[in-house]
Amino acid sequence: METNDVILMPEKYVREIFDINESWATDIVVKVPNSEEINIVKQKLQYMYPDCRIISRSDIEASYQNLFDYKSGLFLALLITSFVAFFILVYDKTSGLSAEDKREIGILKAVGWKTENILQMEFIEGGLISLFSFFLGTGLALFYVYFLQAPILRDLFTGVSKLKPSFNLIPVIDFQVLFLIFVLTVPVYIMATIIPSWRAAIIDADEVMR
Amino acid sequence: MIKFNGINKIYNAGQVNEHHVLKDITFLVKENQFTILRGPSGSGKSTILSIIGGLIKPTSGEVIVDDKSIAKLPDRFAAIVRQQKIGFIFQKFNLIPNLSALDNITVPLIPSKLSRVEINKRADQIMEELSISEKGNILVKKLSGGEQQRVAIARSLINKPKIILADEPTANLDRKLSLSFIQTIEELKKKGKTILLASHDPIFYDLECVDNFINIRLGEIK
Ligand SMILES: Nc1ncnc2c1ncn2[C@@H]1O[C@H](COP(=O)(O)OP(=O)(O)OP(=O)(O)O)[C@@H](O)[C@H]1O
Ligand SMILES: [Mg+2]
Repeated sequence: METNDVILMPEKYVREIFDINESWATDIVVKVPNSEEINIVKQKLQYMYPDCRIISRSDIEASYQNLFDYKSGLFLALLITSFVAFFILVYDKTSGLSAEDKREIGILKAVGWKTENILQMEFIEGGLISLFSFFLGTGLALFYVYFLQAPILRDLFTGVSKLKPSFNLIPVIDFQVLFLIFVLTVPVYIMATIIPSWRAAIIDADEVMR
Repeated sequence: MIKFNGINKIYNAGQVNEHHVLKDITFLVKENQFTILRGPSGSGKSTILSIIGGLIKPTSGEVIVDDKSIAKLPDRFAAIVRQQKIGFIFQKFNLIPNLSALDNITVPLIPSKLSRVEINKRADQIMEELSISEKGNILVKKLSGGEQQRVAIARSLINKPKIILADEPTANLDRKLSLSFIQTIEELKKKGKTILLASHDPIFYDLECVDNFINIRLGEIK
């Protein structure tokens, strides 16, 4: 578990810096050899010192586990959703053209377009759409993180404790990641527009006559 | 000039649903003639027009369009012949519904090297002649049937073709619009176009401007 609000240092310095007397402590660890008795000891301590917060090791583990699941689960869900949405879109495109699209290709051929003209048009159209989406998506992501300072997600990523130092997200653009996303989406989308059109464009165009 | 020499067209050759649609068709349409291709439904009229336009290939025989033999021409060259010499008018107009009238009319010239200015100049002139100048910016799906028909005619003329092929052009028009369509065709003939029109509409049967009839029945010339 990574947090950005914890500094590790020797106990000696902490006492010096915060001027904490040797006889004082903020957290005390109690070891209970017999694990069966942990809960009873916990209850007794709570009873004796009602102002203290008593947590057992298994309590801490459980809460860390929860937090971790919450973070990773949320991200996995977001990521998978967007990938699935993208591939449904791509699948829908490659799995064939509507009768209307086929007719349109037939019309274009009948008025003298060559197959290459049709493919060129589809290429430009697919290219423009995917490039525009790519830059729009990247732009929105940067805007969300650096301008809006990532509301909601920021809380998730920045530690667990109540202590929250203020900090700003500094713009960093990772071109490798951007390039990876680009390669995974733009050409895939363009291919998905061209392939079915190409299949339709090389068959006989006399469908428009019927 | 359009010349068919011993054309056969067999769909699904060698399969159980083999269909011999055109049987040894031979005819000649001379330059600047207005010819009607006449015959009942299913006789093969549209198939003949598709072959002339290079949309499909005949199984055997020779086709000459304006002294170019096109029967065995690879697709991309057939497309060039079509783009330079032929204007198609279809029964269902075959316009692209979500484009404006002007965009539909200029579609054939998009792949050409003509400038947008030149293309628009041509379109304006043609729309003027067909009195649809005011409709240029309207989506074609919002136009009336008669207006759509004229947009379709304008599109077939934008590449200045020598030959006009029309397939059942009056099937979706009432009598009045059909008569005005015939007027348009007459004018095109006066401008020197060669016109081949497939139809079983009797409205074409006793027109003065018709030079010739080709009667076809079950894929054979009668
Ligand atoms: N792609 C195809 N595959 C198989 N048969 C076809 C195909 N295209 C046309 N046909 C058949 O060829 C015959 C002639 O069709 P065509 O469309 O040329 O007739 P038509 O004279 O234009 O008829 P209509 O007046 O109804 O338009 C019909 O029987 C039709 O079913
Ligand atoms: Mg027909």
